[in-house]
Order: sequence, then C-alpha cells, then structure tokens
Amino acid sequence: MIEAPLRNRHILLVEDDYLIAYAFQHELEDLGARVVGPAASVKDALGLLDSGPVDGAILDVNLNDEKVFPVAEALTAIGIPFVFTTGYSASDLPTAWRHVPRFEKPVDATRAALALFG
Amino acid sequence: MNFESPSYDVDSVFITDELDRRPSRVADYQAENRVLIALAEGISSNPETVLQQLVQVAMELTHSDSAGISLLEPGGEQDIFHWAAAAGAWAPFRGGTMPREGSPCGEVIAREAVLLMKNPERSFPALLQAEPGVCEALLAPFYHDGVPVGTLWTIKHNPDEHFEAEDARLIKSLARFASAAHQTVQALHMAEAAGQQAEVRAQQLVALAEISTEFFGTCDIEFMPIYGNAAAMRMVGLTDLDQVKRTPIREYFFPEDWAFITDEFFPRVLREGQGKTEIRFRHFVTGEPVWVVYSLVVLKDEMGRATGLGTVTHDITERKRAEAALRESEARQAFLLELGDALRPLADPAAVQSEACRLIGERLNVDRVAYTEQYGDIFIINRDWTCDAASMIGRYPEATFGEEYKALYLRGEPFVVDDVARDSRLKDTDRQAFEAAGVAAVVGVGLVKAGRLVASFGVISATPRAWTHEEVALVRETAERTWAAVERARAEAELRESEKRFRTLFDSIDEGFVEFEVIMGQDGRALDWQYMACNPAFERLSGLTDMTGRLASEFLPNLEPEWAERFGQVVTTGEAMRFDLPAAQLDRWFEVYVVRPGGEGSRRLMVVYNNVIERKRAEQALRENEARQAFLLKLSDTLRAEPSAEAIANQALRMLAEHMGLDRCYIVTYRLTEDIADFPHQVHDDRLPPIPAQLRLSDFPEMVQVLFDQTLVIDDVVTMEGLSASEVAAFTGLDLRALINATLRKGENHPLWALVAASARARAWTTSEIALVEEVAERTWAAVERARAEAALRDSEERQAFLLELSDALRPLADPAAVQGEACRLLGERLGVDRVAYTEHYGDIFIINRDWARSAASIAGRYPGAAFGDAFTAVYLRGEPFVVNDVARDSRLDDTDRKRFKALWGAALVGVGLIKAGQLVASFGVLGTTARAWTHEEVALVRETAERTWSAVERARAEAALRDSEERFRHFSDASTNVLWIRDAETLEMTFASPAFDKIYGISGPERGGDGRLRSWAQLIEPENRKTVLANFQRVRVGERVEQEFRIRRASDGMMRWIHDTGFPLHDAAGNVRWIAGVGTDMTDVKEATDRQDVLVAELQHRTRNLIAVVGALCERTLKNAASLEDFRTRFRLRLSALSRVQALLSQLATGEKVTFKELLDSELGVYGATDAMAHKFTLQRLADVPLRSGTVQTLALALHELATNAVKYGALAATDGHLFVSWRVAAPVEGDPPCLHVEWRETGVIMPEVGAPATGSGYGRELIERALPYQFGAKTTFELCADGVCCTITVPISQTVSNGVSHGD
Repeated sequence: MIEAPLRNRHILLVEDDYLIAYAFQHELEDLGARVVGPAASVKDALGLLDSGPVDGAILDVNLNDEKVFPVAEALTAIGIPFVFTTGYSASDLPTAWRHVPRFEKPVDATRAALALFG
Repeated sequence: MNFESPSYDVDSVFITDELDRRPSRVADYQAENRVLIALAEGISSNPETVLQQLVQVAMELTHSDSAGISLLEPGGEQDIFHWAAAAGAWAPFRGGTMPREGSPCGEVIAREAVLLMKNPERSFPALLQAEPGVCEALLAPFYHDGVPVGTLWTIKHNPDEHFEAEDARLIKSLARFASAAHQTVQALHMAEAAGQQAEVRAQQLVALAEISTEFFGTCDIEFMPIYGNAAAMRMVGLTDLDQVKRTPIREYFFPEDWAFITDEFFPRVLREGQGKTEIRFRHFVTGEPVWVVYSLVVLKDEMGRATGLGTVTHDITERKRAEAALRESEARQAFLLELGDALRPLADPAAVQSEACRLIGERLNVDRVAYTEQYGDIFIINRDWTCDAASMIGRYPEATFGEEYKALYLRGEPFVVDDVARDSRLKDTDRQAFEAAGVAAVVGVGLVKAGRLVASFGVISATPRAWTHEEVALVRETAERTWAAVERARAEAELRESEKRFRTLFDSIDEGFVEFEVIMGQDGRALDWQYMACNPAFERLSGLTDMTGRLASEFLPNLEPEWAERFGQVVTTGEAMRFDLPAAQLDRWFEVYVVRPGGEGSRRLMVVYNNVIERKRAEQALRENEARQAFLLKLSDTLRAEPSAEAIANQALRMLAEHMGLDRCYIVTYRLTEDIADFPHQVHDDRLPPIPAQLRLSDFPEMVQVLFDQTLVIDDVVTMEGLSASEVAAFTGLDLRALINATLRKGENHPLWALVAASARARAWTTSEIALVEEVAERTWAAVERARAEAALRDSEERQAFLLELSDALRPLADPAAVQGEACRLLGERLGVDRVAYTEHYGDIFIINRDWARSAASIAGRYPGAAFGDAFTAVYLRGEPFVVNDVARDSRLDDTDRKRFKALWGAALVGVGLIKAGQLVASFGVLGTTARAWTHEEVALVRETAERTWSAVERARAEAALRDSEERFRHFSDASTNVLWIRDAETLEMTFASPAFDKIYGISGPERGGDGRLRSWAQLIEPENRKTVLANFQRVRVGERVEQEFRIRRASDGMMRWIHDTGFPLHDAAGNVRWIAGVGTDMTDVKEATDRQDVLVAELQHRTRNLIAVVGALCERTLKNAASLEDFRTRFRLRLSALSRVQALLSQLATGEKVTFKELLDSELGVYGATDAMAHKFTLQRLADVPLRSGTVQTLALALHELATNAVKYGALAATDGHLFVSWRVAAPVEGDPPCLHVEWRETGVIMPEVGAPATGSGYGRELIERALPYQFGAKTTFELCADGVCCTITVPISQTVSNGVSHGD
C-alpha cells in the first residue's frame, strides 16, 4: 500500500446523499484523511469551515435543493483547494468553476486526493 | 438895502440854475387858471384872507411842505419882513417878523428874480430858529405898484424832495397874482377909508384886469398908455408898467401899419367912440408879429368928455397863423397840382426832371434847381433849371459838395443852408465847392427808397437866403413828386419798350394772334366779327391775308357755327376760354385761347390760334384704331361662341361686311397645283349673285402673282395698272370692282387661304380698312382652325369615352365569351352597324364564340379558315385593317370572296386582325348590310375596340385560370397545419396567411380581419429572436431562401411557441422579388419532447451514476455487517430489490408526477405479502396521499425497507399477536417551515428481547432513520424499542408546491 496521500489532511466532505457520504468518508479515512463533515447542505458546510481546520474539500455540486457554489467561493477566498463531484456527465458547471477539477460519481477517493494535493 | 456878501459861498446856497437841469413835470394851466379864478373871487368876497388862501394854494400846487408871504413892513424902516401869510409846517410863524438882513427874501427883492435855495440857513442863520429846517426854498418877488416889497415862498423840508422848473413858473405866476391881490386889498382899504366909492370900483377893475389873461390897457386921449395888465405886457413883451407907460401905442405896431393906425383907425375910434380891427402887434423882444383883434373904446367922464381910451385886445395869432398856413398850403397844393399837370404828359424822364426844376425854380424865384440821381458813389444831374446861371448837368463824385447833406438825406431831413459862407456845418472845402458852383444858399432834399439814397433835389440861390419852412416843405414835396413822375415816366418808357417788344413778339410768334370786334346777335351768339389785328403767324396758319378791318363772313362764309357760339359766350361772360374746333373750309383744326381783355360790355376778343390738325388727325387715327380694336374684340368674342368652323367663317364674314359696308365678303382657298380657287364661305348683297364655288386661278394671273407675298388691294379694277383686259373682265364679271384680298400663307409662297372684302363699285380703301381686313383674316383663320381642332378633339374624346365605357363594361366580365359578346354589342350599337363578330383563329380553324347582330341570327360556331377566303389575312398580318366600303365593288375581292361575304357578312366591312407574336390570333369584324364609307375614325375605333376586347378576353381567361389555381391553393392551404404565408416584398405586409397562422400565432391573418402589418406579427417574436428574424426577411427579399427557428409568444394565450419557418422569394414576371412567402411550422411540441428527452437522458445517467454509488455504498455497508457471504447475499439482494423497486417507481412516473408515500409504503410492504395475507397484521392510517420529494424517495424507501424487513423477521409481522400500525399525515407546518410528512411506525405485540441481549436485525434501518434521514433531508426522527415493539416517527419536509419539473437530486 502506498503512503496515504491524505494523511492528517483535514478534508471537508460535502455530499447530500448519506450513503455515499458515509462510504466516501470511510474511503478517505482509509487514506489517512481526517474528514470534516460530511455536510449535506451549504449551511452545514460553511458552519464546518468556520469550526476547524480544513486543508482541502470535496464538494458535491448538487446538494438536495441547492448548489454548492457558495462553499466553493468561501474556499477560494481562503485559498483552500477543492474538487467537485457530480452525477452528470455533461456538467452544468458555470464557466467560473470550469477550472476546478471535477469527478464523476462514483468517485475514486485516491484520485480525488491526488487532485487536491498531488 | 444891504448887499453885504454873505460870509461864505453863496453860490452853493442859490441853486436856481439847477432848475434848468432838473426834469420837470408838464404845466397844468387849466388847474392853475381854476385856482386863479377862485382866488380872484376870493378878492371880491373876502379880501382879508386872500393871501392866506393863496399860500395854501401855492403850497399845494408846488407840493411844498410850507409856504408863506413875507412883506416888508409898510411905512416902516423897511428892514423888517412881516409874514403876512404862512401855511404848512411853518404856519405857526404867520404874523411873525424877520429882519431883512437875516432873511433870504431880501436877496429875492434885491435880485427881483425867482430864486431856488438849498439849505439857506447856511447863509441866513436866522432861519435856524424855525423848525423844521429848510432843505429847499423857492421864492418869488412880490410887487406893490411895480416895486418889489416881499416874497412868496415855498419850502421843502424833506431832503429827498426837490423843486422843478414848473414850480418856479407857478410860484412866479402866483406871486404876481398875490401882488395884484395885495394891491387891490390895500387899495380897497385905503378907498374905504377915504370913502371914495368910485376909486374903489376902479381899483377893483384894475385888480380884475390884472388877473385876466386878456389884454387890458388904457391910454390917455393922446394915445399915451396909462395902464396895461400883465397879459398885455406878456403879449407884447413889455416887462413892467413903467415900460408900458413909456412906450407910445404906435410902437406896438409894425411901421407899415402906422399910417393906418394913426391916420385912419384912431380918428375913427375917436369919432365913433369905439373901433375894432385885426392887426399885428410887433413883439418888443422878438419882433415877431402878434395878430390881434384890436378893440378900442373911448372912456368918458361923467360929463361925457373923453378922458382916455381903453382896449381889450384879443390874440388871434394862432388863428392868423393857421390861416396863413392854410393859404400857404393851398398855394402849395395849387403849385403841386400845377406840377402834376405839367409833369403828367411828359414821357421822357429827363423832360420830367427839367420841367419840375423849372417850375419849382420859378415858383421859389431861385437861381438854379437840379434833380440829381444817385448811383452808388457818383451822382448824375440829367437836367437842371437855371435863371441866368450855368447849368450843372454832368456826373459828379459823391463827395463833391461834402458829406454833410447825405447823412441828413438818409435821416429823411432836408439840407438847408441859408448862407454858405456862414454855415458852420460846412467844411471850408465844401464851402469853396459851393461858392465855385455859385451856390450861396441851398435847400437839398434827398429821396430815400428802401433805405438807399436814389435821388436828390437841390434848390439853389446865388445869394444868401432865409429859407422858410414852407419853402423847404415845398421843395420836399416837389422832389417827391418829381421822383414819382420820373419813375412813372421811366416805367412808361419801359412799358412802351416792352410793348414794342411784345409787338415784335406778336409778329413773330408761331401762334396766330388775332384781335377782333364781335358783332353780337340777339341770341348771345356772335353774328360776325371784324378783324382788328392779325399777326403774320395767323396769316400763315389760316392761309388768309389782308384781314384787318374785314369781317369773318367775308373769308369764311361756311365756318362751323360752333365758332360763333363760343366767341359769343366769351363776349357775354368775359371768361377766358380754351377750346378746339375744326375749320373745315381751311382744312384746319384750331386750338384757340380766347380772352375778352376789355371789361363788361366789351366786345373785343383776343384769340390765340394753334393749328392742331395733325394732332387731330392722330387722334382720329387713334379713334379709328380703337374702333378697329373694338370691332376685333367683338369679332373675337362672337367667333369664340360659335360652335363650328363653318359657323365661325360665316359669322366673321357677316360681321366684317356689315362693319365695313361691303357688297361682298368671302373666303377663298387655293389649290395652286390644280389651278383651282375654292369659295367655301361667302356673304354678299342680296342684289348680287354669289361667286361660283370654284374658279380657275389662271383667269386672274396678276392677282395670283400678288397673292404670294402681300395683301392685294384694288381700289378700282378698271383703272388699276397692270391688269389685262381679260383679267379686268374676269373681275367685273363677278361684280368685283374693288377688293382687299388678305391672304394667309403657309411657309413661303404658299397662299392657302384668303379673306376678301369686296365692293361692286370702286372704293378707296383706307389703310385702316386694309389693316382691319388683314386682322380679321388672321383672326378668322385662327378661330376656324381652333374650331376644327376642337371638333377633332371632341371626336377623340367621344372615342375615348366609348373606349372607357367599353372597358367599364368588360372589366367585370369573367367569362371570355361574355367579354366578346359584350364588346361586339357595344361596338355594333356605337357604329350603328348590323353585325359585329369576334373571331378566334387557331391555325386553320376559326371560332366565333359570340357575335352581335342587329336583327340577323348569330353566326357563332367553328369554321375552317378557308370559309372566309384569304383576302384579308395578308392585310391583317401587315397590321392593317381590312376596310371594304362596298363588297360588290372592292377590287381586292374576287367573286368567291364576294359571295362568301354576301352570305356571311354583308355589303361593307371593317376587319381588324390581332397579331400576337407574329401569329394572327383573333380578328374583329364589323359589318354593314349596305355599302358604307367607313371613316378614319370609325376604322380607328374598330381597331381600338378589337385590341381592348382581345385584352379583356385574355384577361378573363387568365383570371379564370387564376381562379382555378387559387382555388386549389386555398384548399391546400386551408388543410395545412403549416402556416403558408405571403408578404409584399416592398412593404413586408402580409397579403396572405393560411388559417393555421391564426391558430399558431393567436392573431388573425389578413384574410380574416387581421391587419397584416409586419409589426403586428413581429412583436409576437421573442425579443432575442426578433432582430435575426427580420434580418432574415431582408435576405429573402433579395432572393435567398432562408430557414430559421424562432420563438414567439402566442397572442391568444401568451404561450411560448417554437416556429420553424422557411422563407423564399416569389418573383414577378420581370424577375424581381415581388413577394416573399414561406411555410411556418409550430414545432413547440417536438422541441419540448426533445428537451425532455435530453433531461431524461441526463437524469438517467445521473441516477445511474448515483445508483451505482449508492449500490457501492450499500455493498460496502452490507459487507461490513454481513455474518457470512450467504448473509451478505441475502441482505444485499433484498436491499438491491428495494432499490430497484424505488427505481421502478421513479421511472414509471410520468413527467411531473410524484411518488406518494402510500405508493412507497405499499411497494415495500407488498414485498412481504402484507397487503393480502397479512392484512390483518397492520393498519395503515393515512390522512393524505402525500407526494414525496423525488430526492427523498430512495433513502426513505431504503429506511422503510429496513423497517419492514425487521418487522417481518422479528417484529410485529413475525409475532403472532403482532400488529403494525403506520399512520402518516402532513404535519401542520410551523409558521415559516416547509410542510412535513409525519410518519408514525408502531409495532405492537412483539416480544422484545431482553435488555442487553444482542440486537436483532442489522440496525441499518435504525441508522438510516436516525442518521441518514436527518442528515440528508433535515428530517426529525425517533426510533425506540418499546416493550412490545419498535416505535418510530419520521418527520420529513415535503414539497411545498407541486413541481412540474423533474427534481434533480443526487
């Protein structure tokens, strides 16, 4: 097994689907990350951002009834790297976010970690 | 008397001389006399107070402050003055005395003169005793018996007031009166004392005499004076009574009167007791005569003895002077009259001067008289008169006799020198000049006119002479009159000169000047007139000579009566008159000015003549010209109203013939090449035969020659030069002796038309008449041509009208055959023919669809071409009409043709072919059953009708085809769900839209009440598409085909519709884009379907990916808790089943539908047969069928799956007495929260494991409920293991509104 790339990294996980979030959390933790969250809403995510250290973030674009972009903006503002995950192949990401790495579900946690910190 | 000189300057006290320098008021003698008379009465009535009365008067008259009389004490030392009277301020001193030495009165008595003193106290300190002090004192001596014994004095105490000369005179007069009064009063006292009444009386008389202004005097019988009163002394200049007494009476008279006085008058008085004569006294001082009425009366004593003589002498000097003046004046007047009479007839100014000089010279008995004219600084003596002295005629420098006189002359004063040698005004040089000229005394009078010295009159004496006033005046008058006479003579001379000049003028002016005496008739008209004077010009003007003294009737027996009338009028009224009248006899027309120079009653007239015949002729010509113009105007007006060329020509001839009094008047036209003259119009005297309609021009060779270039004027054919005998005969044969032939030419040498005015007798045509005929010819021709043009125009208009009517009739006809029939009918009726047919040519087949026949049967039908022969076909193909006036005689037709025509058409024909693209396509035949001369217009009308009929037929055909086409198109477009539309390429206005348009766009198409405007349609287009759509229209406009899609918002319901539209151009015949058209399709449904499909595909992908992720997570999770692989397989399969059921539910949903909680629950419980076999095991209590948020369905389904699995395996559904109770409802939402589904899951009758025993089931359901739902959806959940089973509640937000769209959830 390779050296866990996410060791001790605080990763903010934003994903509204509980099952996916739960599974993904375990994957990340298996890679040594310290998952912050997961959070199912923008509000929760922003709350987590304020409550502790975050080194990177994995953001599901479509949350229950909302888009995750306010969280992305906040992260950009404080210079924390993040990636998007999405269920759609043809993303409806706004132009402003096209530069952000995007992963289609199901997401491979290792690749996401590499994108964040590799 | 003490004449001691005062100790100081007496002269400053005595200022009497000042009186002469002081201004003085005018003497008021009347007032003075009144006072004196009053005082005189006072003497008689109250002599005691008369002196006091007198001083009072003196004070008042002299405006003094004090007055008084001081008298030396009589009988005393005579050194004391007694103040006999005093008034005013010094009245209190009355009765007082003053020593003579201290009194100024002494000085007055000493000098026996009136004295004026100023501040006399300076010399006479005694006066200081009296108050107020004396400023000025005026004193006069007071006499008694001629001896000064006192003074009358007046005083001004006010230093500002001063005595005047008048005061001095008054006080002197009053003093004399006072003296007389005093003396009288004294005498009265004495007489009374002596008792001598007579003496008293005498004294009274003397007193009265003394104050009388009349001359009183007495003398003794020896004529030695005894007494003379003051008036007497004044009259003759004696000063006192002594002098009177010393002067013998004879001395009073001029020596020349002494003889009369002493030898005649005195003896008569003595003889008769009294006598009176007018005679002159000689003033003793001046020597001047004083004319008096000298009355003497002998004074006798009681015994009747003559004791002396008394006189009252009345001064009549003034009267005498007046009489003398009168005499003088009369003499002067007489002289001046004589002078006037003498000078008046003299015409020569020099003669006037010399006569005037002579007369005044003789009159004044002087030596020389000269009349001098002054010219600037020289004077000229033209004439003078001398008595034995040398004449002074000549020119002199102005200053010859000095300059003294000139100044006087200019002041209007005469220069009078009595003695040149002694006159102080003359300089020595002047004096010498005078003496050299023999002048010792002179009276010179200047004549100044307008401020300038123009002449002078000098009367000269060779010896000194005292010129009297009258003489000087006479000289002045004479001078004045002479000047006037000279000027008059001069003016008359000038007048004569002027008259002479006038006479010259009279003789030389161009105007005739005549003076004559009119012989008046009773009726105020002149009967005749006698010439007194005529100037040469009149002779020239009238051509008459030697008229003076002769009567007008001798020269001018036939003179127009108006002359006598006018002259009579001037004689009667005296008012000058200007008029002009003809004198036909003289072939003159005179303008005259007539005046009557004499006064009322004078019959003499002066007449100025001007011959104005030329002007009159010009006026006559002007009038004629105007008459001609008037006639021409009338002619033009008349001709304009005439309807036809024919009428115009005839009317013009009639009017001209009447106007000119012509025998004949006609119009002739020429056909030169044919040698023919036509006479289409003529008027003539009834007695004359008409001119034949045609003549040979060659009969009139000379006339024809002239016609080419000018109006031919013949006064008399017979006498006209250059006419051959035959031509003369040709004219006279037509009764033409005189004529004016006014020819109108077309181009050069082409006479075409002439108007001729002719006379059967010789006639001298005037230039005016010739001009008139020419003008009338010109105008008539113009009018005729105009009428012809108008007639042609009318024909044309009628044709046009018919063609319009034709077009109107044919236009509405849709059937080509009907068009043909109608055209035939209209033309047939129009032309009044019998048959008209429209034939269509199809190769060799002729078809007559319709024809029109007046009465015959129709010949409609099909014919082989040969049926009509081919005579006309060639003509038709040449584009010419085939016109046959008479079938029987037309050479172009052979017998066969004739038969055919006869059978089918008739006797006359107009056929017109219609050639299109080189082919004969139709023909139009017009036929008459009788021969007929078709006119040009008729043929033209047939052609036009044919052409139009063909057009109309073709049009009708095309329209019919079009209607078919359109009909088909309409069926098609009506049936189409697509929009078929057409827009005008120019305006982009929609001209057509199929019914689908209305449905798709929600507005009406143009054929169904819509407006068709581009705007109405374009505004439906969504703004973001609109620009492009319209731009694409432009592309179509220029010929492109454009397909496009755009969205509109349907007007009727606001729905958004997707339109697919294909636009393409429609071209007209010329290839231009006339319309743009298109097909539009509403593809909204297709579009929406596609969109949904896209969404669904995306959603499917999303769900798939998500599902895989969930499956992955489930797998992991299941794997984690699985006891064995078998366990994993069972559990995982169940879970996958649950997942797949949810997917099935979701995918079965139609768009917008929601999975309800009931469906979800049924789906999960149904797996376990809960619906039927186990129905008694559970109760579903639902309060609403709650649609779920799609995103929540899957997780909720998994949770329910776990609950149900547990219930079936271990719970209520497994237990025998177990019961599952599920209820759900929509929770009443807390204000502001989303609505929630509230679910209660309660199991009963379950034997629960012991506390602490291993949990039954996986616990995954619990985790999903307790963690996943809250995590994922913010649900509120409880999960309890109660005593008899699981109790669980879920409160999860549901959709607030029902969404149509597909929820996207991860």
